[in-house]
Amino acid sequence: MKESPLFWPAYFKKDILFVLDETLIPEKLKYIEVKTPAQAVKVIKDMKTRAFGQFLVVLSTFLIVLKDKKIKTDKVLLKKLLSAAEALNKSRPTFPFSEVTGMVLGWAQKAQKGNLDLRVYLNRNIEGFLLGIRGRRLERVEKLADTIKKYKNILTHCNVSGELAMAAQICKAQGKDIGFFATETRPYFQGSRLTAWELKKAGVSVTLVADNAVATLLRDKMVDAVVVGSDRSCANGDFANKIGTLQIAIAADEFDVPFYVLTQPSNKVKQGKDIPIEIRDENEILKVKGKRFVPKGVKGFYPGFDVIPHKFITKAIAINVN
Amino acid sequence: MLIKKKNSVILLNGVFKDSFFEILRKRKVKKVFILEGRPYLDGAKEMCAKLLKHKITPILIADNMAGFLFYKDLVKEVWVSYQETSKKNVLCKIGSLILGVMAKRHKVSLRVFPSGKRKKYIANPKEIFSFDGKRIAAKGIDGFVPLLEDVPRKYIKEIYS
Repeated sequence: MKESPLFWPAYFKKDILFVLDETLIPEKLKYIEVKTPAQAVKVIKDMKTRAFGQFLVVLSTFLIVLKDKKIKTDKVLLKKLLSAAEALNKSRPTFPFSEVTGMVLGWAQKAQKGNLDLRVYLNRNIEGFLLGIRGRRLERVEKLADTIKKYKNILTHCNVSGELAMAAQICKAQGKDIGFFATETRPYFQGSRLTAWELKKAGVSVTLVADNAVATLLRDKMVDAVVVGSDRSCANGDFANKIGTLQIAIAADEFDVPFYVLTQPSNKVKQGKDIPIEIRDENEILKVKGKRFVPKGVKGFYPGFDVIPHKFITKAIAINVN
Repeated sequence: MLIKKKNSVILLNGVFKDSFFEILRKRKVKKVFILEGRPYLDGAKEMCAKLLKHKITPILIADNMAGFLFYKDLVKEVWVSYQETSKKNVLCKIGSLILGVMAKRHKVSLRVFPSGKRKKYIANPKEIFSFDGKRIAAKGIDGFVPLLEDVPRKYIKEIYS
């Protein structure tokens, strides 16, 4: 199985973090050099990376601080870690970055209490955690392949960070050719640019549709299942995902098409309505590639995410948290 | 611009015949949500220009954002453009079926009004590979671009002619 670049879109080389600029795909496969926590926050805010890539960048930001040789004392190191955590937590309100940053700060406290070497302890924990996540995501790819192999045509929305393309490859290797329909996913076109690109690269059939065409696909049974990712999960099973997911879930329910979601279980938020939804700049709707395409006087409204009640989920394909 | 629940407004999909604006005028409508209308962006361009001419502020949303508006109870009524009617269905602008489903579930009325121009059923797949003339999609993929869809009458409150 060939790994999609979107599966693990950041890596370290000579103490510099390289983050895949997902906004340039499919034209270019280019990585942004990130040397400071401020730069890390900027790639997140500017949506240069998204979904799993953001969590990878959040954790890697602490590694950037730990690699900073100018920091000589544990006191200053802790201050820098705390400051990085605060900036990351504020970067995108819908994402539960505080769950990740809180975990790292908890490790730092533990190291201090236990009189352990702070840098060594944190490095080991973060790198170990990332390795564990990687393994569990690969397991989830296998679970996803098991789930989708019985379907002929699948609708997906936005992008699930490499996992769908990898699951499709597994199915293909087993002689099960699945066709995919990808929504274009306005306003950032993650479906047109990322999902279509990685599915095509994986050697599977992909058809692009506008976001407004999904009900026809579902009603006319042109697709027999829906698979989406999730950006945040709640204790009751509700989840948040890219804007557009809710209306797909409702249409799937209306027309009796199974709806699957890849999740990262969490109990920190009780229910979907407690998730804060990020409202982004209206210019992101009114402009494309920096150029306004609507008449002067038109306003825009851009909620970044939908909250999807758990009643619409046929099955959550969860990452193993144990 | 976040609209408060008490100020929920009309949601539009399509380009309507000019007589539609008389209805909005009589209702003293000052602002509406409007779907951009992929692939040709006729909502974002043509319909928005008409609304502005009639001194109504269009608030543009992408075609995938209506679900959020319903979830937040920001929609008080939905109007979509249609091309033809049959005994069971009304042939409407693509995107209208999902609006009908959501409107019904949220007990919001969906009304249909004649379209300002006739459309073919389906567009060339290449129309979905670009946005406002700029290529946005990966190469070597297929596209499916319906421009109209049947909306069963059970989702429709009123048909204007």
